[in-house]
Amino acid sequence: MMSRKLSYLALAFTSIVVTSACSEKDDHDTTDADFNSAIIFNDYGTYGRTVYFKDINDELWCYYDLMTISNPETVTLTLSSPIKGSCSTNQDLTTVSYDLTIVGESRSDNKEAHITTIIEDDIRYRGVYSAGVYQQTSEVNNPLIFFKPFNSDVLVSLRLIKKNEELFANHVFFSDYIMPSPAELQARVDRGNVQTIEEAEELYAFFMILEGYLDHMRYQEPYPVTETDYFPHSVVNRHNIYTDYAYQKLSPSEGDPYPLNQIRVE
Amino acid sequence: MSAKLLCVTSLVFNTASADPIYAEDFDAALPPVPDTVDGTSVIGTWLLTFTDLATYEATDTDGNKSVALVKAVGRVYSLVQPKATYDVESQEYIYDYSRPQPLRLSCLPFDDEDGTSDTPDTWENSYESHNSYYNPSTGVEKPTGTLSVTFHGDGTVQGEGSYTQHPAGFSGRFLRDNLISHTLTFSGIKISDTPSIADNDDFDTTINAPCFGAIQLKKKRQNITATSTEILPSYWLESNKQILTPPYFDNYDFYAEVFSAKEGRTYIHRLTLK
Repeated sequence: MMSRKLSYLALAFTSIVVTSACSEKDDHDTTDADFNSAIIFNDYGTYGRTVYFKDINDELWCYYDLMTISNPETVTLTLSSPIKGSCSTNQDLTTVSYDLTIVGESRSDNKEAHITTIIEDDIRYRGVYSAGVYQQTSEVNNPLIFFKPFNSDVLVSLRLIKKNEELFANHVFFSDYIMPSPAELQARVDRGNVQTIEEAEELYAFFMILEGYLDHMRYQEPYPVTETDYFPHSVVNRHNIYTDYAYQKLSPSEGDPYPLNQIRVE
Repeated sequence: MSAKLLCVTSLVFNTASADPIYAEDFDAALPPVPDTVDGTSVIGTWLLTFTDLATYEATDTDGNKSVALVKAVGRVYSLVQPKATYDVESQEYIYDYSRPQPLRLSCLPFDDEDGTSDTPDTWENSYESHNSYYNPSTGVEKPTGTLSVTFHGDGTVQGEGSYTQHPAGFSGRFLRDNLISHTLTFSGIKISDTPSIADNDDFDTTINAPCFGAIQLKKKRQNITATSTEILPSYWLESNKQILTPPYFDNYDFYAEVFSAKEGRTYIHRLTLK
């Protein structure tokens, strides 16, 4: 069971046939796919989509998922609070946005753009979307998903795929930036000289708390993240869920940087 | 490798210096191992001299690269502590001296930029620690560095590390210096059998840090070299503090003064081996 849990962290990604490549702008340096100054993706803007998924009780949920890439140095990921049933902006929706720092770009054999990212600091913006108006709020009034601390030993690939003029992306989620690698987790459990799986799971939880990965984490609402005991409402196969829904390009404004009501509801 | 070991060992046993060692001589030979310490045990307080050669790279928006080479030479005091386990019933820590922990090297100049070390839980006279980063999107864990440390059983120690780029050392894609690689070498002597700085009858000190000392940094970019002296850990100089009395080592002792204009007071960082 433990190894099954760990295997969820080593996520595979189903390749998708690409019919339209990302930008062909010349890349300066592709010697290291993770760290470089190459510019592969330059169709800058704010993209949005709705994402539907079923929780562990087989109930349908939806949330708004936005991605803003304005320059070759930063990606901002934004998500809304999940809604049971269909997505709709006819109700107040809390949102949270996190800045990711781009550390490199590369192109895979099948022309996917890979953007490697880290979270350097705990930079996030919280807001409420109400009657078509976005308003930034304080953390106190907006307890939506809160991860801390992030893990400086993690680098996460954002995979962007253009297909029939639509943009698809993989399963990057904020929990990716806090989880230690399977080898690290196993090493931590091994230190406890455990005899049984139950002892291993208890130790796993103990080390996760001891080393700060679960500090201050609040996660009471479902999202399609990895299935572990620490994300009790999460669902499996999230990469399939994400790649099933295309992003559409939005027209944000200064007063409405995250225009949820422009997003086509599936 | 063996020639290098002999060379460093001979340096370690040079006669103690009579004069204080300032920044320009931080690579001078260490004094001999004090007769009072048990060289066969690794647990205790160590004085290390180290050299670290680092390459930084910055890229402009046209893709042109600028390279900066940094040479850091310094001395630090470091601890090898026993494994500590907290006993809930007695509400005390229980120390296992058969399970030493790795040298505390967190104050070294590039440690923060290497990410977290995966250090062994049990070892006797030598160990290797490893650095890596993990990409959950691909499931790939990429090694970025290894540090090998050997204790010779006579109160001396040597270490060698080699590191490549890690997310923790990333500053920015454009016009920012990113740490690309660095190599660390150090040698050291044991100066106390007690694995503590503040709680140690061998020392008269104002310091309570498991890793501290001083370095001279030489940063060379396009044939221009800038030299600076810093004390470690670097947070001793935070909040606009300035070095008032340059750090120096005198045999086994350390001294530096830092002035805080904001607080209007001077911090004295001093350790004397009794």
